[in-house]
Amino acid sequence: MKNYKKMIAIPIIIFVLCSVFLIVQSNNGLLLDIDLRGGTQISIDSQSYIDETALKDVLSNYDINVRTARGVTGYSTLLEFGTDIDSNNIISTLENAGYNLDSYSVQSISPLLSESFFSQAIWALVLAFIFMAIVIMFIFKSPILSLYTSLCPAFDIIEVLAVTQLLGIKLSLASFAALLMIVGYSVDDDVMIASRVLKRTDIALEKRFGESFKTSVTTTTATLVALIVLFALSLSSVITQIATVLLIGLIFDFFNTWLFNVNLLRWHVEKKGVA
Amino acid sequence: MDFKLLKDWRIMLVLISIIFAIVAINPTLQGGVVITSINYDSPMIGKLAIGDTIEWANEKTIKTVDDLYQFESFTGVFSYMHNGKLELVQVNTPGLGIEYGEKSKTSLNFGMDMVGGTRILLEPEGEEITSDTVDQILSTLETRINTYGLKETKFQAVEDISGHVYIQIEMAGGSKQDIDELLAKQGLFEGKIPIVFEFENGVGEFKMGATIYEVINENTSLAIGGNNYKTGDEFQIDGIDFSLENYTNEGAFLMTTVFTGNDITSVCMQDNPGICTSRLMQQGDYWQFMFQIFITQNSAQKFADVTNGLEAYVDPNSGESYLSSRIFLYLDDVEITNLGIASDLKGKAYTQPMITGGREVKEDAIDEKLKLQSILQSGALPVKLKTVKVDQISPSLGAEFMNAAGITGLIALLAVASVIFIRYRQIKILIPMILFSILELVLVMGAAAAIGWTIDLASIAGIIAAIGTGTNDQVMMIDEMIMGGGHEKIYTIKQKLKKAFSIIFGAAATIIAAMLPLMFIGIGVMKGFAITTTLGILIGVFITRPAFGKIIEKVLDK
Repeated sequence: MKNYKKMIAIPIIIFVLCSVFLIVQSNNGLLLDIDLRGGTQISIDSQSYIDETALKDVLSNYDINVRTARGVTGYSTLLEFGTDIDSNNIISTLENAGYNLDSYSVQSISPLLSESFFSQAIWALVLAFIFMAIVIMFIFKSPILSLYTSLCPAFDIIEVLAVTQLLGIKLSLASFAALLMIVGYSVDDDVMIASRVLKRTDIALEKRFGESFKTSVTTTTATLVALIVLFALSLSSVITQIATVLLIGLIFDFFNTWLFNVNLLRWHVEKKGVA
Repeated sequence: MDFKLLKDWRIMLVLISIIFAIVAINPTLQGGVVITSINYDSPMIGKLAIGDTIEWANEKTIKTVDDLYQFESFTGVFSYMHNGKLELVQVNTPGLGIEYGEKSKTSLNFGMDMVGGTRILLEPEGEEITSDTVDQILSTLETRINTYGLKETKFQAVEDISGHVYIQIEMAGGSKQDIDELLAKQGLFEGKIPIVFEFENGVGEFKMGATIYEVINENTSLAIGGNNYKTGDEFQIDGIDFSLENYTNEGAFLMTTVFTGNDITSVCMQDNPGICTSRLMQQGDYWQFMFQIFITQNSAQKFADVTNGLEAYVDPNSGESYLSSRIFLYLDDVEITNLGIASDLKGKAYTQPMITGGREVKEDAIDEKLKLQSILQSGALPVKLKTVKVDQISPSLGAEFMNAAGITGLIALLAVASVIFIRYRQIKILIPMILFSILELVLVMGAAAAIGWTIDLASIAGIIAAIGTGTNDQVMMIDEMIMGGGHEKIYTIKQKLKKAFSIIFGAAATIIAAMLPLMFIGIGVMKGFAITTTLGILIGVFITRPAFGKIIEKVLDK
């Protein structure tokens, strides 16, 4: 593993690319879900496909955006419009036109309130990061190791944000919850590897890395398969959003942990000469 | 398995916790039907309360909603047991006039995003909203909800981190429309009588009480009693509120406010001949409702003063005698009805004005009447409320979700179990892992029931996340113990376990730290996620992980 120092460059390059993309994207306006952008969304669940053009014709008096999402068990038709339109009117118009509205949900939020939600979410993310860094400081009692460990979740978050925006996945309060969870998962792994490498002096250094890798692969795979199930069965939009963000986040976290964090750790161990 | 293991404090702790959890969840197989609302015309009114359970009716055990539904066409003596008490009522016309639902099988509360319902966030408008204002809003809403009989409605003031106060209303039944028409309405009620008169050479007059007021038309304004008013001006004459609606060279149109919602002392809810009127009747293909309100003597005097100046005329159609102006009733500046005033009320201090209205469909007429009565009974809200957030889930979508959640959970568990089995290829490792994941699920649910937490979608996501972390910790513990096994035994299994625990504690602390800020954002939308994740992790670290360690220690020692 002579080239490990060079490998540190790969995650850094990806991180920089993602940061640049995110900065450009936020200048153009981030893709935000209804709870962070304001507006109303009616979601109609159905077994069969609801024709979008016919739906638009029925609602031609209103300025409405229609799109359809296909799930495993059926279709979700999403109607989006501004808060100036009363959702009661839309629902009664659809019912009068003969649409079956047994399974539907309405979500509406004023633009002003959603704006405050967004800034609160950003603050939550920043605060969570600071709290996490303090806890890590307590665990390692070493500023340099704490810094290494904190960088990994930071990379994860920026990269997940960039990739979800690139894939057209909208940011919501639920995805913020998932981002915070990634911080947790990421640190979980990093703490495990660092403590093993630094404390399990009963076995050879390379083996400590090797065993940690096995553990890391097992936990990541177990979590990934659970998330894939949640994502594929698309139980509800909240859970799907959380699953999507965590899924992408865990994949990034695995690479960041093993290319960036572990190699920094290796470097640290080499310098300090831990046996 | 040897029984010594059962005496270990870690195992005992898990067993005791599980018993507590099951008690807290309180699963029951006993059926029953819970009353969710009682109509004001129900024969059972006064002999049943919302939240009561009916277990038995007319010699039949009531287990499901359908069991009670059979009595919807019943007439005669209806006997029933509610909460263990026997009651007899005479049912004259078919229909029990109550709404009910299946009794919950556990004490777990599920959020409206899982069982269906509507949640609305209302923002009080205005600069400074004091806690007094909020209390007043809440008590007004409570009166409206109770008078109307809106079923399973919860409301509370919620505050965001910047100190903004909102009113959150959650209903299991009902619709957004109910909230819009009943709860979000400010409910400013006004009774107004117009005064119309003509100008002769720019001078006109009107009579109020015993006094005649001269009005001079000065073109740009009207002079009444030495003061000048323009169109749209509001002013007072003799303690009565006036507004100048319009005037031309020919005549003027003034509006007087004779009473407002504050003047209402009570609203007639149930028809009681000779005492007060509250009725619904069919007129052709139209359903008309009417009910009386009682107003203060002071406002009744205003009515007397204003009507004293009105002329009487005979309606050619009915032959009855009415006054020249009608009384207009407004709610939040929208006219709800206008009524002719019988000429024998002229100059009388009338304290019991009637409110009428009508709809084409009977149910709509009943509903509108009840909403008006509820709003008038409760009085106006101190400020306007603006709807800032609405979440609405149809009940069938909620039910679908509950079923799907179970199946999804099971598939996810199987998927994780296969990964674990592929890695370790040992059933004796797999079984405790799955067992402990299930135990953790029960413990988190029990903790949620114990603290009365409402489990919503975000909470479910949090539970999944916590159990996922649990599985990761288990893998980590097993790996820590099998690491460096075999010939180079330097650390004992106990020492290795101790090392594993220091990692687990560290990781748990970081996740909880990350979850803290989430509790406070978006008026608690994601609070459920943060709470259940934290609960799950605490339970894992302090209750299940130590026991799992003990068991794995045994398993691997062999």
